[in-house]
Amino acid sequence: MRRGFWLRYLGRRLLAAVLALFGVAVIVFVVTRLLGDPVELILGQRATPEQAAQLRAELGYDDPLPQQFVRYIGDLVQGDLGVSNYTQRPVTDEIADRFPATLELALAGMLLGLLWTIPLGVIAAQRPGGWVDRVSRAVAEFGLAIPNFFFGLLLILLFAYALGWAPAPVGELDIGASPPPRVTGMVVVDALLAGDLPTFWSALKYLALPAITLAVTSCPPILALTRTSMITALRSDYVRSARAFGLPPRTVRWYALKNSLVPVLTMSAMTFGFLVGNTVLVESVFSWPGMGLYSVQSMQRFDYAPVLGVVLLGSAIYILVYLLADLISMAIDPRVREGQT
Amino acid sequence: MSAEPVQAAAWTPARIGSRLRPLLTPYWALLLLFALVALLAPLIAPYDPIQADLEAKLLPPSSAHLFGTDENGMDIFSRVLFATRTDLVVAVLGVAIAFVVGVPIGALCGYLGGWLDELFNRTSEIVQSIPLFLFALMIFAALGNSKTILVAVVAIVNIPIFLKLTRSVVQPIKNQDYIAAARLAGQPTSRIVLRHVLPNTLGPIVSQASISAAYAIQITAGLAFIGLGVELPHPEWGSMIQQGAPLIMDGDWWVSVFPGLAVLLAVVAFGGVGRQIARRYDR
Repeated sequence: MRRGFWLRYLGRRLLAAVLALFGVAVIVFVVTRLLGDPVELILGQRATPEQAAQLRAELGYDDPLPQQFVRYIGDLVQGDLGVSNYTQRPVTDEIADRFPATLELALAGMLLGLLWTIPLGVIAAQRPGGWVDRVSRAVAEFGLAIPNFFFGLLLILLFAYALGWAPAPVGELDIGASPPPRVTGMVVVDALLAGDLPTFWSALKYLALPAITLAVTSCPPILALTRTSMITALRSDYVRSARAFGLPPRTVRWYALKNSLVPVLTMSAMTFGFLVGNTVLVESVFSWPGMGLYSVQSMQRFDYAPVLGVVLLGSAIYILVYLLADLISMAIDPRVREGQT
Repeated sequence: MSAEPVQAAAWTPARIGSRLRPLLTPYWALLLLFALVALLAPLIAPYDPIQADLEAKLLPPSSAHLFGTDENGMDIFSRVLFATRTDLVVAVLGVAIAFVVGVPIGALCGYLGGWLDELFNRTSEIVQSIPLFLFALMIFAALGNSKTILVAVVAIVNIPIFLKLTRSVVQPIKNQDYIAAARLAGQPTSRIVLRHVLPNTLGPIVSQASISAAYAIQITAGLAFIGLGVELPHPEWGSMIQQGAPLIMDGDWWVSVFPGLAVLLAVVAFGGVGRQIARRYDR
């Protein structure tokens, strides 16, 4: 009975995720091929009509649309995102080179984000309206209101220019420094794996400011949710009973925390999915060599295949992380499970 | 959120006074200030915002140039004032379009349900799963780089928000007695939705409009920061921040910092007003 329910649920969610991915592909197709002119996208606006006509025939853009659509989906399924006009390399390879940097940044930002939002949310919930609550709410409001690229610039101004604690924003490593042997593609991790401590330390310094930027500007919703979730838990019957039994406050707090973390976990996963696709501006500020900066640079070179590739990948990651978060909260929280039956 | 029909009351001075009291909060005052600056920019600005002065490049803030000057010798104070027009107009126009498109469709979806509802709801979710700035990059790539496209991008990313919100606030209202009464009286669906359902759901939607405008300003400035939507030297906050970004490590902070603070304050103003409206209707 239980097992059957699980499989049904899993099947339904997987199907929904696949449909969402398909939907994103359809939107990209509609925007680029129906609203825009794909040949103009590839050649730029300077091409002669003859060149355009030739390329149009070569790439099959004269075929009927349904046929084009089937071919496009077929390419996507095989992981073929086209060729970059600028480097003449497959977009898939180019993105694969840059994705680890984005992942590293998003992971670091997420980690720092959880480190400040969850404890602060828990403390604020002990005394709603108290000074910790008010200060943390002000910080959260500030983090949400300030544009992340501007906050990044302020950090550079303070920590790199004025105090000299952080390096200038030139990417992941000193200009000219040789990166550690590539294993994961994440420089901090690779340096550690290679046992190269000076490089590790240097890479960590480069990572710090962009990661702090993401942690402050993207994670305030986690703080707000932790706080409300914790307040609800502290007012619940099981906490009152635990207190009435004379359990020490610390134990009671732990009970409440365990129960209030489920929605926080889901929200954190969603924030992470959001982060991976939304590092564009922060990567631009810090010259961080990830896929966000890559898409902006490609845009400036009128090289559009990479832009569409990053759009598809960013959306796919968001959809998959969302699915994963759903399944995890389902697995650990019986309340969510029962809500589904 | 009240489900009672809206009632007209006499406009006594006391009533008008109590209606205007919310305007006395800092958020409203700030919003008013931005509106005034946008309207009166040509009167307040001491310099022409796009007048280059090669004698006065990169001057720090002083009494002659309150916010200093940029690399072209343009007065940053004047540019920040004029940029209010660009950013506010793009944000408000984009959100207004999203409102006009999203709210009626959302109301119909919530009221009718069925396949129409399913179609629009799913489409909204799919659009929202595309990371915002990447979505914007794609639109700019396909349709060209212009201010019109910028407004369109702001509108498109906000339509799903209004659609889903309106849908969710209409759903509980459609089973109220007074709606049933209107239906029994033989009124057409479009009239029921427009005259009886929507007016009673406006609180949360208007609050969302203000919050959306706050994000629209962030989006506008963010896209301009990566060179999309507005062209230099047209005064716009995001592109001004971009101009100053490479100068930060030289210590020429004023080029980026003043337009950045303008964005921050505008976002705080719109966001604060939105939350305040939400609180008023929450009771």
